[in-house]
Amino acid sequence: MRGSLIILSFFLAGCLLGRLQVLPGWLCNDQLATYALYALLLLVGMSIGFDTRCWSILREMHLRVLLVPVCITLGTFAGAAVAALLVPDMPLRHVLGVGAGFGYYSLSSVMITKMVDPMLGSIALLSNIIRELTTLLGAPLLVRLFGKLGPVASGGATAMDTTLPIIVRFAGERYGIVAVFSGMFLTVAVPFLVTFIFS
Amino acid sequence: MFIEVGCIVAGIPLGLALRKRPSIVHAVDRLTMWAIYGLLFLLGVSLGTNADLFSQLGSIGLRAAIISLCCLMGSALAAWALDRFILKGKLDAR
Repeated sequence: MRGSLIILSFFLAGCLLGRLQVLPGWLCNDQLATYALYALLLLVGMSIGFDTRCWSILREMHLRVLLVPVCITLGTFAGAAVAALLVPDMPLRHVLGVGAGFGYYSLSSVMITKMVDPMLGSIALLSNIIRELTTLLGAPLLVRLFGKLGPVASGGATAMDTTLPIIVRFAGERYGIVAVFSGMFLTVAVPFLVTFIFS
Repeated sequence: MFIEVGCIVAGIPLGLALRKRPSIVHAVDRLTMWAIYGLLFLLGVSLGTNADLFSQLGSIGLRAAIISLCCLMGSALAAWALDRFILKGKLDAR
């Protein structure tokens, strides 16, 4: 929660300072953002390598646990297809790309800004923040409506960190382990899916 | 696209090799955070300097909310169906 507020305030500060036109030109240089993104992706890759919990969970819970993130991915894309009908001026590919953030707003919005445009990047940022916040606030309701996998699904990639405490609280320790696995799987999937959708 | 995916793939073995060094793990965490803050600040700047985009903030928010809620419901429904028809509570079993 605190994390998303900090992120949102950096974004809003940028909006405001950009609007007031008080920033030096080199800050708006495209090259800078491009190299910063490459550096970020390298760091993300390193974090993936740091964390080996995934493999022990897979061993303990068998392959069936893999079905959880796979179904979450399919369900998210089905939901995005429905959303594309509700916002007819956006192409399906754009809506799918926004959905492919799975709540991982920081990386997906930055990548989409570079690969498409700042407009879609901003939609991705807000959309994925809303997904995280809805999970945090609605976890008990999600468990009641969709069962214990409900908050794991709605948390998407955030189920391994920011929304994990609330999932453990309302769905139990056991589903916390599933959440860590599913969240990691989706976190790794985000950059690949986003690149795939927009290339 | 190849550069983006290449950066991630190059990072993984590096991370695997360095995972037992807490100071490096910590530094990577902090750097990741600041890279994200910086890039989102820049995203804000590009939105702010573009008057055309800025005037569309309301519709950006509305679309974001629609997409987000549809994706959330879709994924939760899929997870429900998975548990009900395929796993049948097997995740609870030790």
